Amino acid sequence: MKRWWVDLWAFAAALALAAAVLLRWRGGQVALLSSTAAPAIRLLALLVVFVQGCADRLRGREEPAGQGAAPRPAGQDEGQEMAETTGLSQHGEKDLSDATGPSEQGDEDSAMGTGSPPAPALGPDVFPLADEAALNRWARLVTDDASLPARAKQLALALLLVPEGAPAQDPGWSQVTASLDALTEAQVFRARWQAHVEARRTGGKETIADALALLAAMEALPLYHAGLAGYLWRRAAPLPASATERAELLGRLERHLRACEALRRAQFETGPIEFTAWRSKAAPPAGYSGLRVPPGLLAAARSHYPNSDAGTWATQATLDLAVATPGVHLLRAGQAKPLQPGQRVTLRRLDVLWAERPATLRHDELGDMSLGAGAVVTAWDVGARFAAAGRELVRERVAAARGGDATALKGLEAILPAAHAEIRRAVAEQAQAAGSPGLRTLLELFDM
Amino acid sequence: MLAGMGLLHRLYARAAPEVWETETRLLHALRLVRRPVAVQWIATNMCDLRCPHCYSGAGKRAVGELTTQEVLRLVVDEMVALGKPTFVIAGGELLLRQDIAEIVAYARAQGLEWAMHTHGGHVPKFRAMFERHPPTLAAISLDGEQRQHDLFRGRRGSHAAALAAIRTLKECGCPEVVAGTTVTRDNADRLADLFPIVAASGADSWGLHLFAPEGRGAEHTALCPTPEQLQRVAAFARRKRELFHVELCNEWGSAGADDRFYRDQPFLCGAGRISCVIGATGEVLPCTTTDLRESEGNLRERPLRDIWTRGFTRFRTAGPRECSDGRECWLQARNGNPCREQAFGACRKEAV
Ligand code: SF4
Ligand code: SF4
Repeated sequence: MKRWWVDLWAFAAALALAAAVLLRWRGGQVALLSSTAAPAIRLLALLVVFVQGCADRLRGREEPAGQGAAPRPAGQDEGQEMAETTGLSQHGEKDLSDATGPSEQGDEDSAMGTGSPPAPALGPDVFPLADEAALNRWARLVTDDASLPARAKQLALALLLVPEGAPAQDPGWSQVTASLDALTEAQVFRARWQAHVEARRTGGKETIADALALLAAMEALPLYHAGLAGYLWRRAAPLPASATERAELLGRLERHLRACEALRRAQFETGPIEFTAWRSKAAPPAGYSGLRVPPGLLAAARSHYPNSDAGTWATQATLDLAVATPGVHLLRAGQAKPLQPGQRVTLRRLDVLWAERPATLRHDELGDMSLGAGAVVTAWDVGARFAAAGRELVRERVAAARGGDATALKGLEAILPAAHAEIRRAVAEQAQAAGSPGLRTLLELFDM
Repeated sequence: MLAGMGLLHRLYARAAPEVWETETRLLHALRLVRRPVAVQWIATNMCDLRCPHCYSGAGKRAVGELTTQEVLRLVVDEMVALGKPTFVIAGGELLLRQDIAEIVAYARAQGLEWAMHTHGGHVPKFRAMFERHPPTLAAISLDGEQRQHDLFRGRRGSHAAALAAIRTLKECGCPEVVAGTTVTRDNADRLADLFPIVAASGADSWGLHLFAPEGRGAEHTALCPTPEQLQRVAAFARRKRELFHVELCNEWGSAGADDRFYRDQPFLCGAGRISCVIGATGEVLPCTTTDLRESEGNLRERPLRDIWTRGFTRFRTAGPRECSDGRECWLQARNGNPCREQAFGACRKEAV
């Protein structure tokens, strides 16, 4: 009986709605959407889109995807990137060992290759935040408060704003210390990073093992943050290291950045994490966290992780090379693969090239570069490996860009790994030149 | 319930532009119109600076600017009737209007949230007003480091004044102060030098606007950044978002699925759909253009409610019409300035 009335009421309401719409149609009238009806319309639109999406998928149409969508996580697809190309001539082994590196790396060519690629052991590749508790701890570190940026962001910003070679009295250091002190719950992390800050401040030496320890301290918190990971990459890049050590750090950084990427994508789906710090002088009520993590975030991040790449670290500031002779291995994401003559490889900032014997690689514009047996090459020091003609081309282009030549600036962007050292030298020499600000922007694109 | 909301958000976030378009079609079919979320009022055409990129071509006071009473009745009261959208006051330089404190006080008394765009030079003089009625958002223009900013704005000291304004507004309790930079060919490659200044300024975020050849900007089309510059700035902004709250503003258009790298919310052009602009003389426009052919009516002739409800149909109808693509910035599109594709590259073309 009751059901009958409900049906009648629903029918009458639908009829009234249809009549109202019809009357408005006929009269050409338009009405403002009331705030109560707005969610209903949104829901209806959502349903229509959902049904359309299902129908499209059934018909086999592709979903829209951006640059960050359907990426190719490293370690799963080198085969595609190393697709063989034709038309490459074979080159003999040339001795180009006059090349000097931009860093403390780069005198390792004398070591003999072993013939077996020195791949690091990174362990299983799983999404690093194990449970909701870990997710909450991470969220608390990386989420902006309504009036304050996230503590991780503040630390990364403070560290990056201290100029290279800044004296111990630089006021930027106090900002760094304050940002570290704000991480009250992270004793081990603070001690480790404070030691790093002290080393930087006083010009102390650090090793690649120190960089790995800094990363481990971050991840133990768990603090996954692309800005801090980028900072670590930049600090570690000039430090001397064996191929395996270098590949281990870069492989771990790659996983770290992929986790950040998966978390970013997940938040775009589920909605952002919100956080309001407790500001009253009185103690917060029991159980107060101020944190609102959207439901489903962990599951979404986990599902994205296998297909997430390292963002700009995977796709930008790269150098395209062709392999001219055998004996070169690519160490990427914890895996080592031999490269065949004729293959093309995109050298990313997270990759290592290792030569088991003297070998030659070629860049379409910059020409040949030679690697001695046991050579370890990364995006940081690749520029110095090119023959004199290639290095001269870079020098000329940097000089032109510093003079304000926009075409030269564009050209440099395409060869950033090969050019960044020369750019650094050029802007240090003439910081106020017309094109120096543009060159500094390019450096930002390489360093982060 | 929470889980249900989470699922809805997931569905919505994945397909926000599609949902938006479908909703637009539904509303059109049902003869319904959304309420505006924000209404921007060009308080005056007066400005004491003469920036070459000025979209409102500001300088002298325009003939027939709305009087105080007209603003209170025709703008503020009508906005209340429209459901209290955010009242965004821009210019020219709004703080050159003698009655601005009265208008702000009245709007606040009516329960309107307010926001403003200013060059910042007069902010300290209005400290009492800001303390009493802090805007929910204040955008202060910052075009470059000191030399570049002062040169571009044509006044020595304007950079220092902008930085002082940011500090003052924060002290007055403005919850979000945005340092706004209009990216032009002149400053696109200098943003690396500006970043530390913005980060240390006390601003909560950095909005990177994009030059549009509107107003005085139409006389300086050479200020349009090159495609390479657009790409570099987008790449730069994406990286800096890890360190600071940087956003590519709406003039950049949609990056499709890649919007997540550049902004907090997926892009949708609000012109005529959820926002409109009231010119200094009462013309109601879809966005900040000085081209009166785009006007949907004048407040002195028809109430804002009526103009909003019956006007802007070209923005609210579905199909491949001039203004129906909510993924493009209408302002750029009407000037034939396809910066979206240039900035975000060919692969993003597929994404949208
Ligand atoms: S851009 Fe702003 S400060 Fe410059 S002239 Fe226009 S209104 Fe004035
Ligand atoms: S026209 Fe451009 S600036 Fe205006 S609302 Fe649309 S996107 Fe924003």
